[in-house]
Amino acid sequence: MIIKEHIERVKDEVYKCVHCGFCLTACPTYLVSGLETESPRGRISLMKATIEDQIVPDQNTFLHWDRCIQCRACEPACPSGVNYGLLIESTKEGINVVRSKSKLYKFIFKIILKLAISNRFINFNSYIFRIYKKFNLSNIFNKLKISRFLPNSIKILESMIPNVYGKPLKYGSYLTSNSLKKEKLGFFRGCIMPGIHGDNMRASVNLLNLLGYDVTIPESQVCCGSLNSHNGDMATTIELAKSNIDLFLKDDYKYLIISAAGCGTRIKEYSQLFEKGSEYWDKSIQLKNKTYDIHEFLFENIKTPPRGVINKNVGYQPACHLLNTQKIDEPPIELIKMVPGINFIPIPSSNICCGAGGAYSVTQPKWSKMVLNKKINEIKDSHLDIITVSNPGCFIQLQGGAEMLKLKTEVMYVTDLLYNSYIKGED
Amino acid sequence: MKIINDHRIINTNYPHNKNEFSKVVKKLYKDNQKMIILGGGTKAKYGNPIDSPSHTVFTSELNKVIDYNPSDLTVTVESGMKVEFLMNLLSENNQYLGYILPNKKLSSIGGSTAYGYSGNYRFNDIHIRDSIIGIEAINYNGDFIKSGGQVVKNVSGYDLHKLYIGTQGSFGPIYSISFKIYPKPNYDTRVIFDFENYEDVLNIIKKYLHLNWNIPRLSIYSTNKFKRKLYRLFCNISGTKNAVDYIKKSITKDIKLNNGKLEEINNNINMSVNLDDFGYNLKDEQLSIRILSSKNSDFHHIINYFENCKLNFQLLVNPSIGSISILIENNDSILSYIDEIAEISQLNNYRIIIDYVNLSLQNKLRNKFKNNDNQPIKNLTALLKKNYDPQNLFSSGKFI
Amino acid sequence: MDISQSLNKKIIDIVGKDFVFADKQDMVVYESDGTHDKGMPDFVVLPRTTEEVAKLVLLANEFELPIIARGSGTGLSGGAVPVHGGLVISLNRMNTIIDIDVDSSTATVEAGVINLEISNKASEYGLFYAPDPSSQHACTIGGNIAENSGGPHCLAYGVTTNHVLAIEVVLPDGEITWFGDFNKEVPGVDFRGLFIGSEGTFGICTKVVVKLLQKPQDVKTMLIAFSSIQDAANATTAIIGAGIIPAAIEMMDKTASDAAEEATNAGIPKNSGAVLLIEIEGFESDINDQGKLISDVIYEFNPVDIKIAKNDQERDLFWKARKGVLGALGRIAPNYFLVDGTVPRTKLSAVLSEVSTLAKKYNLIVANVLHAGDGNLHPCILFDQQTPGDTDKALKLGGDILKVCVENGGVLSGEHGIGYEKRDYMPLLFSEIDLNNMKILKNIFDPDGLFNPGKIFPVE
Ligand SMILES: Cc1cc2nc3c(=O)[nH]c(=O)nc-3n(C[C@H](O)[C@H](O)[C@H](O)COP(=O)(O)OP(=O)(O)OC[C@H]3O[C@@H](n4cnc5c(N)ncnc54)[C@H](O)[C@@H]3O)c2cc1C
Ligand code: SF4
Ligand code: SF4
Repeated sequence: MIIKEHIERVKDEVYKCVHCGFCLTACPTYLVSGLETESPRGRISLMKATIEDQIVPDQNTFLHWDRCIQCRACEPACPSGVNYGLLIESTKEGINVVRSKSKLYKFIFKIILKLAISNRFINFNSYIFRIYKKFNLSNIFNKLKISRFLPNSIKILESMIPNVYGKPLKYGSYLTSNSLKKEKLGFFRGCIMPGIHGDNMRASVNLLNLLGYDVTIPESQVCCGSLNSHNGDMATTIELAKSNIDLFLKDDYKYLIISAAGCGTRIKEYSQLFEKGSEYWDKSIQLKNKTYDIHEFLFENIKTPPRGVINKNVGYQPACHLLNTQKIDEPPIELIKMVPGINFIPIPSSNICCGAGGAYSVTQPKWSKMVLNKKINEIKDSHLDIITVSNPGCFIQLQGGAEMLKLKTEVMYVTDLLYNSYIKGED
Repeated sequence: MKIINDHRIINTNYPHNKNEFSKVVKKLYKDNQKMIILGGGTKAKYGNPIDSPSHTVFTSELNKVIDYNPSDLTVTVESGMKVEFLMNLLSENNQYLGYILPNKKLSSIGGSTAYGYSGNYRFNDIHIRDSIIGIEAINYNGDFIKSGGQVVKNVSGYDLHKLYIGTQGSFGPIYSISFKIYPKPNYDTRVIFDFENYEDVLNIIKKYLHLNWNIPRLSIYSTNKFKRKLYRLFCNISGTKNAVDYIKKSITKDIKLNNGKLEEINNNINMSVNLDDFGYNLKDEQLSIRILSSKNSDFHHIINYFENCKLNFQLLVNPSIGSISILIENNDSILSYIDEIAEISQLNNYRIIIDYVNLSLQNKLRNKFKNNDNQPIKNLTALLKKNYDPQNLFSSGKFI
Repeated sequence: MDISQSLNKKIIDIVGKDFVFADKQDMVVYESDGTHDKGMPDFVVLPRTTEEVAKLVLLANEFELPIIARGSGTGLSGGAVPVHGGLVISLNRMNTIIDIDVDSSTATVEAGVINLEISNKASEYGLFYAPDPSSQHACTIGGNIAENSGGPHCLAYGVTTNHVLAIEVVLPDGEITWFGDFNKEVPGVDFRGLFIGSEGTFGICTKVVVKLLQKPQDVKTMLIAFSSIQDAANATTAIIGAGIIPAAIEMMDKTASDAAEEATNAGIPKNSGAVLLIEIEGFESDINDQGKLISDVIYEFNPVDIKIAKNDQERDLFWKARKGVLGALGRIAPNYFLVDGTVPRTKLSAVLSEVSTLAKKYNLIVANVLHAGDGNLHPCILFDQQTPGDTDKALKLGGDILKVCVENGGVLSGEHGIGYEKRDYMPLLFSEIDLNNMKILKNIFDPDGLFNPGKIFPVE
């Protein structure tokens, strides 16, 4: 019983759950379905039933765990302090081991994960997406009636192919022209953003430069490993973690800045991968202490707010991995409010995930879309000009949703909004 | 034969204590005797006249306090206690029920409970059905049935006591009742305003109706005794002195904006002032009915109707309770109007309750005001009656 | 095709296949509520409309299957646990707020709507729904109806039954009807009042009309630490005795407040014998008056620390600490048995000291959390189900505590209901005649006994 073994490793955490149900209404998949099987408490109950031999998890049980977006909104909602992230990762690791017994699955999974973390692929797919959008292949497919033959899930995927903004962001150093030079920063590149959101990422780097920091994006960095750990591939995760820890602990970088919330969480939580007190455990804590999400870093360091006026109604959809795991709630909102002219309008259930969740929109397209629909409709009812986000996954997801439902609201990074205002203010 | 308020009294019983009460009930039931339990007898006129002949069991000797510890803010008394006695008792400790039950001198606590009406004069949104936390009743075997208790929060078992509130004794006699009570606010005021236009009063009411801070209770009073059309608004405000002053000020301001005219202010009346002028000292030639609406403040139809008819009337709209009390001088032509009133009410889904009527009229009004209960409710009510009063001897014919 | 298969098919015909569970592998998640009681359903089904509920009830009648309504399963008496199997009807998909009528300050909602959602929606109009169980962001209004739930602010406002005007129910024979009226004094049997608190044994509630209140203009929230639980209890009694009814008076003893602090960092003074959370509402001058009256009373009981919430965030944090305290106790032990006895408010101190004597005798940790202003105790007996014998010990201690409550003029449950967990304690409070009378009522509503069997009444 591989799954059972994996869950038993986190048994104490499982039994911390007193099934009070407080987490139900924090969970996006429960909110759209009303099903306990798709809720945090339900997923934990399934784990408990597994270790108590009440059930033997089958493919169907796996599905309930697979449908978890791992947004971890259930954690702050839980008064017992259940570390749900740990539970689901361990469980998914078990599932992965079981699944990898299927040769085909193993093969596909390996390729996907390998590709996902390879730098070359990042650049490559950005070209593919670019070509796809540039020549409006979607339209052509439609005209040729090819899309009719595609299964529904692929159709949903097709509609989610992201827009591409600018050339990929290159490795290397970006020096500040500000005379008040400050420390050197390391910058974590992440996997999705540099390829397709090159412009947006450059804006982030520029913002740091504006504040007087030199920014370096070292080429030897590797993927943070979250895609692997979300899907239960812990061995690779550990390998990647060690490599990143060694790189960024170097004195060359006073701080490590991250602009993708998922990577931020993964890196700040590297210590969970190692035994307490071990060498890498120590090191991962050290790294955590110098790692900042770009929003919290900007918020703490901006002394002169931007001056360019932007008269718009703006809302904010926080990234789950900022809000629920890194507990960064106010900084992005404060950054938005720094921009003169902005009328900030909170959207109703902003603390609920949009359904992006790393690879979730690819692995669970139907559920991802259910969650997204709810979100987009709320944004629609809030009558915004701009909905800001703090993470590339959210950006792609919301933009896909906005296009699908023909929303007039523009999706924009918080950092872009801020940067625009700075630029405008300089004129 | 004695007559109390038109009610023919035959074969009276005056139990002096709990056990006597149960014995009497048990025996009468065994002998298949129809019975009515009377406290003050003031509510006998409500609803249909009771099937006669019947035995009358008076609770007037059952008037003891069973438990009262002021710091608990609860009180338990026997059902025959007079309303006024209880009010005075509570008042000594600066407490009150939250409302002033009508006809306090004559009515008993048990009768008021069975009647289920908390009167026109409220200081807060407190109704008798909300303030009763326990009842000890007697079933047809003479057994005591306990429901609820002397604590303010209780979900132990079914809320059986709800069965006895507002059902006119149809399910058996009430022996004792426990109330949740309240500290008397240390200051109160009554402000009276006059308006010429109903719409203006309505605006005020809408604004203040659902404030939960020691809510000002608003009543509109209208009568065709005045030479001109006039609506009189009574605001009862209670709380700390600061609170009362604040509310008084803001209401007065709003009222001026809405064309109202300040008539009178009575400060710190210690809740002693009854609307004694309304509905409590009735004469035989008067008919008093109450019209209940399900939508607050939606009484235009009724008000219009009365203002244009030839009856002599006084009318008290109590939007916070959703009721209009109407006093009509009872003359020969009244019956023809009654049909019209019933029709308006039917149309608007209002319910009509007869609060006071003389016996001859009561007989004529029998079943005039239909209640539009649906079939499941009728079935359930019948089943309740059959189970809790299998021989149909308690208050029979009164309302079921 | 065997019976269960054909039944399964019929259920699917009513609600569609996505909303039926018949596989035990899935249904384990519907086995329990907020307690540690368990029971495996035969089917779990999630209807979308009242009519679907009615059809399901008829079907269950036909197959003589027990019917258990379920809201969010946060109940603390085992109420939603299908102890005899049967059809669990989960109302979570019936979660539409149908109407908010600002003029008459009422809201009409489906039974699966989450309690807090009503206030969230009503807040656009400056209104709110008063009963606020600590679980209010998770529990359904239907569950509240079934349990007649209370909450911290029920001290000033009263409990669920005082705020529910009318309910739509599906009766055990499949009939749909409304109970109650917008008007609170209509003549006739108050079926609404009888149904509220009947713990799912009289039928299924599908829609609810609640009364909304206007939000107070100003709120002041105080956290007061005492050196002993006795002082805190006596202070509570004294405040009420002095004729002040704040919006809420909540108490946590040392064990509870330390756990709550750990979970939330709300700033509760550590190591205090007990803390009171007191809230007053009104407008500024009124609040100051009340606040002064209260502090005058409190100073006689040697408070060691008084904190006043500086802003809404801090206030929310105080409340988060209080409302999440039961879950926070999960940090101390994996299971708790929550006793919900309620006593007259003057008996608080005496009863609490007996509770602590009993806890020592049984050698178990008891954390006390109280809706103190209402005399509603929540001694929380901490134990570990996996330690052999612990569960029995905890249940016995619970029984002893309830005995003490009843001896002091109290009752078995203030807000969580009797359900499965406390049914065997009923004879402590009720005579056989009382119980028989309740059974008559149950028989009138549900002659076949299919609705939530095994609850409320002790096993004979
Ligand atoms: C941490 C915590 C704190 C709590 N704090 C409080 C508190 O402060 N005050 C309080 O009163 N309670 C409290 N509770 C208890 C619980 O939240 C309430 O009893 C709540 O009303 C249950 O609602 P639910 O939707 O979860 O119902 P469930 O647990 O699903 O069901 C409870 C009962 O209601 C019945 N039921 C559910 N829906 C319906 C329906 N539509 N029609 C008919 N019957 C139905 C079920 O059959 C069952 O008997 C708390 C619980 C927890 C876990
Ligand atoms: S909130 Fe925490 S303890 Fe409660 S059910 Fe969810 S995970 Fe379990
Ligand atoms: S991580 Fe998100 S999706 Fe998964 S159970 Fe928790 S709240 Fe639900």
